[in-house]
Amino acid sequence: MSALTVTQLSAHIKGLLDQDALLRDVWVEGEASNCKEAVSGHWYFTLKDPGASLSCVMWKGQAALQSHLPEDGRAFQMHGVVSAYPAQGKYQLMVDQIEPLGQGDLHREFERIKAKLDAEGLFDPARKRRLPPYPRRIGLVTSPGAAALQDVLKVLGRRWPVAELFLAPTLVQGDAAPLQIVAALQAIGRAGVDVVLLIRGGGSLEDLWAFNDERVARAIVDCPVPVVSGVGHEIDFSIADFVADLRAPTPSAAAELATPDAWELRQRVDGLRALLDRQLGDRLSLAADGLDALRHRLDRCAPERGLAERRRGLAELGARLERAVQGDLRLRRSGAAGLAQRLASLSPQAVLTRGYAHVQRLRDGRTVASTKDVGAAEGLTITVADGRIAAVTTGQARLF
Amino acid sequence: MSDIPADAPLDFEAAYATLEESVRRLESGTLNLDEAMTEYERGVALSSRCSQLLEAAEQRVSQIVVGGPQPIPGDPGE
Repeated sequence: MSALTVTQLSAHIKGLLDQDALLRDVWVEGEASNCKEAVSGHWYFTLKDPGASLSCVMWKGQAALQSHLPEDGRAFQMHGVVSAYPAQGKYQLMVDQIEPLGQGDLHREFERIKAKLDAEGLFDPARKRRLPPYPRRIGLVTSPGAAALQDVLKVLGRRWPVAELFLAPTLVQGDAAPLQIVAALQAIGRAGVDVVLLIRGGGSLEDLWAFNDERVARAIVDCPVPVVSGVGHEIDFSIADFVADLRAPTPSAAAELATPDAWELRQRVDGLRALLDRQLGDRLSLAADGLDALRHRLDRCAPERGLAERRRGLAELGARLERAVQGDLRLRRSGAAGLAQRLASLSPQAVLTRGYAHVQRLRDGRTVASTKDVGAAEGLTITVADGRIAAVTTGQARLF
Repeated sequence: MSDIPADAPLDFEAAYATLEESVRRLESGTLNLDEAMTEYERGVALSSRCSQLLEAAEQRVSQIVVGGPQPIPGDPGE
C-alpha cells in the first residue's frame, strides 16, 4: 500500500473543496459565538447549530462594508467561500456578507412593496403637495417617549415657536406598530393641522420595518394634509419616505424643512420697517424744503418791507417840499417888507404914542370902553405909550 | 389696521405681503404727502402685527386621542 504524505492528503482535500461550486458561493445560517476582533482588524468567530460548528473569518476590508458585525448568541445568515487550510488541518468560511436572520427576506419584501406602490403611481413627484410656508398648527406622529420627539420639539421651539403642536402618539416598531401608525395618521388628519411630521429615530431594517408597511404608505397617501417623513438616519430609505410629500433625512431635519425661521423673518420685517421710516423721512424733508422756499418768497412780499420803502419815499418828499418852501419864502419876504410898514402904522402902539391910553379894570383886566364898565372906586390899570399907571375912579359923568 | 384683535387668526403670510406692498407704494413716489402719511401708518401697524405674530410663545404640545389600539406602556420607541 502506498501512503500519501499529510501534505499530499491535505492538498487533495483542499482541491476538492476549491472545485466545488456550492462551496465557492454559499449562504449559511447559524448562531455566532466566540466572536473576536483581532488587532489586525480581522474578525474570527464560529457559526454553529445543534449539530455542527463552522470556523469563520471575515477580513478587515469586508468587515468595513457590513451593516452588521458578528455578535455572540445572535442568529445570522452569512455568505462566503469555504476553503481548507492544510497547515492547520481545518476548513473555514471566509465571510463577505452578514445579515441578521430574516434580513434577506425583509429586503425582498421591501423591493416587492416598493415595486407595487411605484406601479400604482404613489411615488409620482407630481402627486407631492406643497408645504404651507407658515404652518399655524403642526401635527406630530411618533412615539411620545422617544428621543426623536424631543429633538423635533427643540428644533420647532427654536425656529417656529408660534405654531400649535399636536401629538398623535403611536408605537414606532414591532408588529402592532403599523396599524397604530395608520390610526394616528387618520386622527391627526382630522385634527385640522396644516402639516404632519411622521418621525422615528434611527434603527435597523427590522426596527424601521413598520414604515415599510403597505398600510402605513396608503395612510400617508390618504392623509388630507401634507406629510413630511423623517425616519431613521440619512442612509435609511423607507417606503414611507417614497410616498411622503417630502422626505427628510432625520427627524430634526423634518422639523427644519416644515418650518420657516422666525428669526430670519423678524430681520426681514425690521428691514421693511426701516425702509418705511426712511421713505417717510425723505418725504417730510422734501416737504420741509418746499415750505422754506415758499416762506422766502412770502417774506419778499411782506408789508414791513413796503413800509420802510414808504418811509424812505416820504422822507424824500419832505426834503423836496422844504426846498420848495424855502424858495417860495425868499420870494415872499421882499413883498412882506412893504406890508409890515402898513401893519405897523395900524398897531395899538402907534395910537398910544399919539396920547391915547388903554384903560382896564383891575379886577378882571376887562377893557373899559364905557362909563358903564366901571363902578364907584373901581381899581383901574391905565396903559400909556411907555408904561402903566394904577388908578381909582373918583366919579363919572356921561357925555355922549 | 391698528385695531386687529390679538386673537385673530395667525395670517402672517397675508400681513407680510401687505407690508411689502405698503413699502413698494411709498417707494414708487406717486403718493402725495397725505397719502404717504396714511400708507406709512398702515405699514407701521402691519410691521408691528408681523413682529407680534412672530413672538415666541411657550411651547405646548396637545396630545390628541387616537382611535384604535392604545400604546402599550413602556413601549420601546426608538
